Amino acid sequence: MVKKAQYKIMQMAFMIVAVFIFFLMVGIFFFNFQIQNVKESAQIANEQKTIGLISSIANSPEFHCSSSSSLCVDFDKIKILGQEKYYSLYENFWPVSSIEIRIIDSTFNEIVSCKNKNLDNCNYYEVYQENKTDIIKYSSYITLCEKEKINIDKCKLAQLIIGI
Amino acid sequence: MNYSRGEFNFVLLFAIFAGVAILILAIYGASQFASTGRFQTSTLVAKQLDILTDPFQAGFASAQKNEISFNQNITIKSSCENFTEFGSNDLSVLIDMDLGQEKYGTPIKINDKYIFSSEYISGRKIYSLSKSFSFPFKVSDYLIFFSEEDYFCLEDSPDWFKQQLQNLEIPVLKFKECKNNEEYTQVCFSDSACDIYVSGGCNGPDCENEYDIGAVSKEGTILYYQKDLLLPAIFSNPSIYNCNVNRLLQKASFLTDIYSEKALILNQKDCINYLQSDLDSFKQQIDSNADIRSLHSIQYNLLIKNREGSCRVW
Repeated sequence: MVKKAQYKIMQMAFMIVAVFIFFLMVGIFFFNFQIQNVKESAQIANEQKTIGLISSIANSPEFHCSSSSSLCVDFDKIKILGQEKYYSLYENFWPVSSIEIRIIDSTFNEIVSCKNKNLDNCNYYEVYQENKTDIIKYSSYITLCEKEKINIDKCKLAQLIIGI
Repeated sequence: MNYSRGEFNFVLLFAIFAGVAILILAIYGASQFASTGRFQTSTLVAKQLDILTDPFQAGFASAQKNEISFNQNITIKSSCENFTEFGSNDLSVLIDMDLGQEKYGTPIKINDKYIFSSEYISGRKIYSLSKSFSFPFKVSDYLIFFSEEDYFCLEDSPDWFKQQLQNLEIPVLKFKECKNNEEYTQVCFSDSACDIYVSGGCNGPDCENEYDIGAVSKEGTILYYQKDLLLPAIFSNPSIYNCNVNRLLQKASFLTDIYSEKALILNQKDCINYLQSDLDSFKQQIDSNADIRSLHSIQYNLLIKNREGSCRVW
């Protein structure tokens, strides 16, 4: 009789353990599903933000030229912002991983960086770059202007490229 | 099956206890799951608020009004910190689901925006007003959030002030037939006994209006403002106002560096201007935490000097 009772308790215990493992597995499945959802939402939210950010960065006082036209970027300011002290200062301000400018110029067949080179003979300027590998980039066309002389502004067509 | 009395009781009791334990665990798990879901949604709403308000910046407009609608009643808890270079506005959201649980989502740090509001904003709709802060160059756009439940009576305000807000048609701002109504927060420019009292203090050649600089008395505190910050001083929580003003001035200080270097670059291009030394001393004044009212004259002189120069720095 005692053995039969012990057998029944064991049977019950195994059943409880099985039910527990079942719920645990279901829990892990839902947890993973939930985490995946959160990651996807975060990715979508970041993408939406970046698309909106291109125009707000181009029109921000740090980038925008003195004129009142939208998406006009001041190349003189870009040269200033490219310095190390601003690079580290604005590192946590812009919610992006990279900010680059690419000048649209058919005379260049490849990317020629403007940093530490003749600024009249280049077509790419890196304002800010985080040490990340998986950066997704978005871009928008802008007007890149700089003061040449009194009353003369030199403007070029360029791409503002933002990475997240 | 035949059970002896003892055996039946033991197995039955064991099964009941195990069943109850599993049920309790399942209910607890489900409630935790729902709570995590709510927490996730609240955090997501706060992040979406950050994204949604990106295009709300005034940009080149003098002011812009927008509204955000939610499917449910929500409460936004707003705070501000200025311990880092640019500081941040922190928003956390509570979605009202009538479950009696008050758990705000993770606060979202927004360091590229300046949001003035009361500490708690609740309702199904939020109205936002965006304007630019120039000092003397454009420093940033800022946002003022209005709860649909907080009404302001601006009947006793001057016409120039009414005009800039009336066209925006923000439903919580009333301009007539609201005086002495207790449902409204009374904003006055002449009667110091009101909830919010604005006193102007500008009376020099660098003033377009008596209210270009002044003070706003509310909730037992005095908030000093400069021209573009009059609206935030009226409609914002005092501590959020002071914190965001410090953040804006900090950004103005960083921009002064950029413009000082640009002034030098322009000088090298024969675009002679004499702004560099003035900008450097303006930066020193800002960094010494001078009262915003005392900076009015120096920023006005910079504005005039830039306009009159052969090449504008901003």
